[in-house]
Amino acid sequence: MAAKEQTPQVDQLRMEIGQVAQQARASEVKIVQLLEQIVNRVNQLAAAQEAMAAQADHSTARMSTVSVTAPETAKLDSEPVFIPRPNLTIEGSIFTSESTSTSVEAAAKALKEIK
Amino acid sequence: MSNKGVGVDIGTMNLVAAREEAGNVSIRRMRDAFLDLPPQAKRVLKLTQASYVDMGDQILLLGDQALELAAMFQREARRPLSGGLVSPGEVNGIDVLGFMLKSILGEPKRPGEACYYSIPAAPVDDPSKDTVYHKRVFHKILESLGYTPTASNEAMAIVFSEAAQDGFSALSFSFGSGMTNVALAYTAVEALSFSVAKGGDWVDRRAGASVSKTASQICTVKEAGIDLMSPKSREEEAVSFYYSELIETSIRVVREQFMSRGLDKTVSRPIPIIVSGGTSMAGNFLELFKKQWGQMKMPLQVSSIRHASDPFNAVAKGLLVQASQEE
Repeated sequence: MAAKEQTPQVDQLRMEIGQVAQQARASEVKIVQLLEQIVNRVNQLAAAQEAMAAQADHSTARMSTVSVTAPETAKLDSEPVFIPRPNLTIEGSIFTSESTSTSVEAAAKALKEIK
Repeated sequence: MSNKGVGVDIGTMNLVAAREEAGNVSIRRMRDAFLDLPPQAKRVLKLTQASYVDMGDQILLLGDQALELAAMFQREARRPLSGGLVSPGEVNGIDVLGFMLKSILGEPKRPGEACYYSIPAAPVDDPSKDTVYHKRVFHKILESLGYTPTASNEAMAIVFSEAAQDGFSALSFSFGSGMTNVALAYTAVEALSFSVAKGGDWVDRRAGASVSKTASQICTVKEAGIDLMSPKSREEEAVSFYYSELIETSIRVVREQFMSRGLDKTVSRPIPIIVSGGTSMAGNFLELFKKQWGQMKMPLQVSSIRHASDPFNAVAKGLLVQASQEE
């Protein structure tokens, strides 16, 4: 008799345990998903940091190259203007149009006389 | 006069170098434009046999090729100068300008050869702009190329190349892409100079915006040939309106400057007006200028209004005249 009365309780308990287990599994999945997201974000952050570091190295390398190939420009660093780099490598020949015009010799002579 | 210095006109649209050679002036010109592309574009450029500057992390196309190939890469060519001055937004612009100047100037004929380069006057209608940075940037580029650089006013250079027969007394207008420069010279001495921060680019932008076209489309309309006194389409009419506005503004500022400086009392004899610059090459520009000049009560007597004999090269040649005085 007692065993018969206990059966529904056991069933109830089993059902509750099943529900809890289901919730636990769902939570487990959620936790795994959250962990995956965190790992992804960490990887992205690491990649961005590496890219920034590489860019900084590259900039430093470029500046170093300039100071090595054009030491005369080093003195300009303290001035807020620029570092000229007219000696760049080119492929092919840059097109410039060429023509002739009348001499300015007469104007140059006239100006000299006035001065 | 051989190998006596060099003049270089630094314009928003073109860089022009002038050097006396074998009884003539040798002119070398380069479009003031560039295009930056990723290194992967090299393969395509080799197929088109284009020349480029290899900077490692990017490649640069310069001059006309930048303009010609920009459309192929669905890009707009960049300009190292904007509004007549070094463009503040173009980080690569200084490198590009250095290379371009080296291409058109070549090596100095002797160490420290004199090189006169053009600079604009400070714009009267834009007090936020000055020419100090621009002037010093080019001084350093030319110095690094081995020249002894001297900055000289753009509009005054026109007087030196075009007004020898007038005793170097003239009122000159240089209508460029980026701005309009004006100078009054009296026996080779600068009596007045100023600039207006409007030029051909401004006309293209404003006319384009007025008829829902891009500045490039308006530029194409202009280059196809336009008569400013008799426009034949809505686009041409818009261009004509803005040309009129540009000329009227420049003349009005001349009047204001003359009056405020008392030059109307100083300049007693008639002087010629010389109009120059690429923007002044539009059809009937001089007629439009004369019409506008006639409509205003100007405080000076004018002997003639004429186009420069060599409008594209007048500035570079005038700078060469000045450089020759140093050698």
